[in-house]
Amino acid sequence: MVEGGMPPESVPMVNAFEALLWSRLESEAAAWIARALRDAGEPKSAPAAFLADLAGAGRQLGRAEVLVEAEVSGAWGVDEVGRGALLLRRFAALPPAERLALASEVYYRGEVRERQALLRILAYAPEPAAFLEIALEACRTSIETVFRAIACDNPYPAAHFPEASFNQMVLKAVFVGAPVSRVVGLDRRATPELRRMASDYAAERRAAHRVVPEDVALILNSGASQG
Amino acid sequence: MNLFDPHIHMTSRTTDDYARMAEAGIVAVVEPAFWLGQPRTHVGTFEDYFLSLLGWERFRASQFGIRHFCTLALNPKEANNPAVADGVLALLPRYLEKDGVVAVGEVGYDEMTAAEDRVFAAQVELAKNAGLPLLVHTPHRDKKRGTERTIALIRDCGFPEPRVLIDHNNEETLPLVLATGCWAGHSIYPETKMDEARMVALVQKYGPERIVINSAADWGVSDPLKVPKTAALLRASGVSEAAIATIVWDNPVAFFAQSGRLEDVAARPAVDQRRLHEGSSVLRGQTPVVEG
Repeated sequence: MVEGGMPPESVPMVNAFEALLWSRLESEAAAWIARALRDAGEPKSAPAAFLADLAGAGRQLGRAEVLVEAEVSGAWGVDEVGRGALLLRRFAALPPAERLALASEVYYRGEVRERQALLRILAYAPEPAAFLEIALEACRTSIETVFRAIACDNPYPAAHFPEASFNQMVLKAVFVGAPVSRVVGLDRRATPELRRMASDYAAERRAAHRVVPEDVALILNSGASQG
Repeated sequence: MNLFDPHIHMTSRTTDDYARMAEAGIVAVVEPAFWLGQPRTHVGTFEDYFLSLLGWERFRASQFGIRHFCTLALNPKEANNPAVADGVLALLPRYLEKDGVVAVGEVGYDEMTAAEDRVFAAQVELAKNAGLPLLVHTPHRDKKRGTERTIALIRDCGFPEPRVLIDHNNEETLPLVLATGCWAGHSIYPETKMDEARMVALVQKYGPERIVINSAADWGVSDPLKVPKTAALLRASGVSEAAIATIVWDNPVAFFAQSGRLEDVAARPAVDQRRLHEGSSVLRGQTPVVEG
């Protein structure tokens, strides 16, 4: 279990991640992640060593799929679970002013699955609103799995995105074939403007004699304020 | 018939593509600076990218008998990255003065954010100061609204519409663009944007005036022969030779000639594959092609 020093918003996730890791990993990998987690939580450990552990976690832990049951459940790679735990431990160990710099470093110079792990845990990080620009940048990616890591099964966008950004993300999900049904909070965040965008998109597809994706209907039918 | 592909990202393409393009009649291309599929993390990588568009890529094209021009700008997507945006804007005035730069572009909107508004407007001013026309990308998502907002921004900035080419049009945006003084580009793609048959229908409906077509081929699934393929379908559909020539040659030449820098565009460069660029050749042991 997590000891003192961890911000309360991170505690349930770190506990869930670590329990998953202990139940899934062979002894060698378990020993590796235990050591890496200890170092990550040590404020004075070298930043470069943390980044190397985060990069190496892919090889050390493998990519087997596991079901993460949390506020929003979803299938993650075990490497993403390990990296998520490392990141939450590290954020907790760093002064607030240094957290965003670390997240930027991981987003812009991490590999694809490092970025995915970062995006999946943003909602559970301390002071999550500070990471908004990184989450918005992730919506600009051309890498489908990175886009899905922010857009699907992730509570962050509905909790923190401004309306225009949330709308762009939902429309992009339709464009790239990411399931709109897995956008968390769609019904709560849907607005007349989002429905207008979906309706214009359907009209554009029809003018081009193309099929209108089924998920457009999910958007058109979303939103409590509809009427 | 001479063909012009006024929007193609050749740095992402192979020498086989250049050879096939030349064989299909393409004698000139414009390569707009754009994003590379993932965000750049340093201003310096933009600078090297601009230098490669002006240097190695122009040489590579010449080795296959194709004239290569480029447009330079900070693309709309990366306008949102504060780590690079202002640094790239600061580089541009110097780079826009270089030979072979025939417009500022691709500028425009991606998500229509406040950052994109600011960078777009700043680059309209750069185009005014450099005396260059403007090549404008329109967004994939919410395209009609993005096109309306593009036209509004150009008018707010007082930029002359005949010096603007608004690109990636479809059935819904083309009438909006033709109602202005701007030129209308169409990217003929294997699946998205516009295809050959739809393009033929648009030409039959609106005629060839201010209409431009391109392949927009890049590092994704795309086809650098879309200009010749569309010309062939226009011909097979009964569109006149004069109208086809207007679309695939006269219009892009007239638009980019407003830069005053579209030198020798109609003269296919004589191939001399003995030449080197900063010591490098495109050949790997082949016998150099040398035209008289």
